[in-house]
Amino acid sequence: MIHFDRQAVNADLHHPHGPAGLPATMERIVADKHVAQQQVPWQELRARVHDIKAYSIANLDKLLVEFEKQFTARGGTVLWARDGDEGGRHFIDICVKHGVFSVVKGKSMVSEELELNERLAAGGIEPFETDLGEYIVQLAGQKPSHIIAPALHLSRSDVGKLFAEKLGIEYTDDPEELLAAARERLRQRYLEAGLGMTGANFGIAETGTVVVVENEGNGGLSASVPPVHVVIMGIEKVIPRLVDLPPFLHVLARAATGQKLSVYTHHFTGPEPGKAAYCIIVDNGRTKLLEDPKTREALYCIRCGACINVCPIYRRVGGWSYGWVYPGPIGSVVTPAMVGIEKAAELPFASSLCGACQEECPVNIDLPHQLVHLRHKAVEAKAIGDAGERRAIDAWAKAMRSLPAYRRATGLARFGASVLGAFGLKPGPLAAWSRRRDIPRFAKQTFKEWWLRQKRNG
Amino acid sequence: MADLYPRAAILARIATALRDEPARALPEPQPIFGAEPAADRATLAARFRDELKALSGEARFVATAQELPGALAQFLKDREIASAACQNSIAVRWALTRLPEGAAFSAADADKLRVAGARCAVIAAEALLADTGSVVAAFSTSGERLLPYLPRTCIVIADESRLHSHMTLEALAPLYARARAGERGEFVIITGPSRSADIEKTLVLGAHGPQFLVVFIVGVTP
Repeated sequence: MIHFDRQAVNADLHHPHGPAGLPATMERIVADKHVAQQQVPWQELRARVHDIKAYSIANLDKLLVEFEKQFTARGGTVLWARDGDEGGRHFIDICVKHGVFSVVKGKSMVSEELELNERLAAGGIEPFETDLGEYIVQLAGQKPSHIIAPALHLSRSDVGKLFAEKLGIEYTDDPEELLAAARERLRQRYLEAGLGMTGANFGIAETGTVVVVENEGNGGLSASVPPVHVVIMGIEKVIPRLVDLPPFLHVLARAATGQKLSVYTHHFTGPEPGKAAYCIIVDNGRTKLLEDPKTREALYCIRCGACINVCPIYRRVGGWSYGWVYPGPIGSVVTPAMVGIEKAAELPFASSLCGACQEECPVNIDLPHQLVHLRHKAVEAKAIGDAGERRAIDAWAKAMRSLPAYRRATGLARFGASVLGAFGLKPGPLAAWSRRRDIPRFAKQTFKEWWLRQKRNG
Repeated sequence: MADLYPRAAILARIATALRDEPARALPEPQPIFGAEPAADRATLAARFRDELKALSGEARFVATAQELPGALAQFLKDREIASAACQNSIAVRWALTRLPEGAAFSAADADKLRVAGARCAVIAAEALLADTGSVVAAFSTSGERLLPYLPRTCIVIADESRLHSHMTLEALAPLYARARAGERGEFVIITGPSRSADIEKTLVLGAHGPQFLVVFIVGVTP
């Protein structure tokens, strides 16, 4: 069961720059994005990438088969995983086949879904996160709090203390020195690892090319230094052709970090002689999003994090409050659909429905209506609220459908409120609501009663 | 469903989910940027230089191909770089002709430890994108694939004819064609030196890849 817990970060972390600093940090990122998007025909690009994604999702089965064919033709091996267990088993089987006991990992949210680190560790295989943010949260024994900036919740002094404790270096809070310490340790890991793993920002059906976008160079090193490269890719990442890619590249970095382009846009097309490449194509609940036409558009997501950065709820509570891999508005849509509405019914309600998420989304995904749709589903599935609340709402719904019942209900409410108000009573289930509020005073007579009386009195 | 082979099961789920999905046409690729006045090569080179500088990279210009080996040798001497791992291309091999014997080696058949031990990499650009200060490079051997990531300094050699104003389809078409033809390996768009802002959003250069990116452009002076 996944609960929305707005206290999650407060309870578990030291965070002088965590939630308290989040709104300002997010504001800066969004401001950078707005500057970057002015350099290109932004709305035209949004429309174009939306259309390409719409085509890609509408033809998903055909494109995946073509991707598999081309990836295989260039010497790679494609494996399919219905869920996290199957994906994890495939990965461990590859490690066993190649005699691998040490894995370097580029950034991949799908591997978080698969809980790959835990699975590998349980199998006696050492996983090393190499994205600096992921490396920090792995050392801290935590989970990422943002899909683009995993260690956003930690201050430089938090990282300094962590590195001093875990890496045995002298305490420093200088980001340059901290990065140098991580670089030095991870450089050795790349050279020793038997296998490198990356995610995929895009899979190109016509050539079997895997496109990975990143800034640090860890994706390039993870894919190129070890003798085996494993890509873990969600089914929704495939697009038809290489020529469809540039519009996505123009919007992705701008939306994510305000850069024109990320430092590295890798196009991996098949392993060279002497090397091996695998692609594990993962469903893990994505076909549930696909089944419902009202949530299908969530599969257009390119995981830039723009909706998260602008969300007023995320800014208040941080990423851990969402209870699973994906926070923010996109997390509140994909998580209930992927794990089941009954297990994550609270998430669609973690939104003010202000619409900022859609406005900032570079693919123009209609997240607000999907959130509302999932709220309906949560209520229909009786997965939200307690029995008393549901009975009260059912009773109110009945009263609103019948005039006599409505009159009786409002009369009763007027009487009840006057009695409770007179004695200062706060009834049980409403006590939390009324702790800082007075019970409203109803007029002694309704407008209709007043009107009839006036009419009678001439 | 649960007993089906995963591939068949996933494809069946997708086909079932999409049974009512209306047919859609694949949008034809369109130029992203409207026609702009053709910039002369010097202006384009200046634009590239300025964009790369904003990313903390450096562009250097040499007037003719004959001057390139001397300019590169001087640069390496000034930076006290004694070993260079190189891409096996004609342009790169020519650029290295003034280096002392044994100072450079081809990464095409080199061990990863040797490439990791080199102070710098020298690679050739397939294209330069002025608007973003980007270098496009392609590698088809496992040793060469390490070049843009392992050494601390990455030097790129490019003729001015490789300059393009934007990331246009025209700039990328030769690489797309090679991938379609079945060529294996990697092509990469490099936009500045490696960087990270994962600690309190403070930008630090030289994360896992090179800290220094220097592009030598031959045949034009801005």
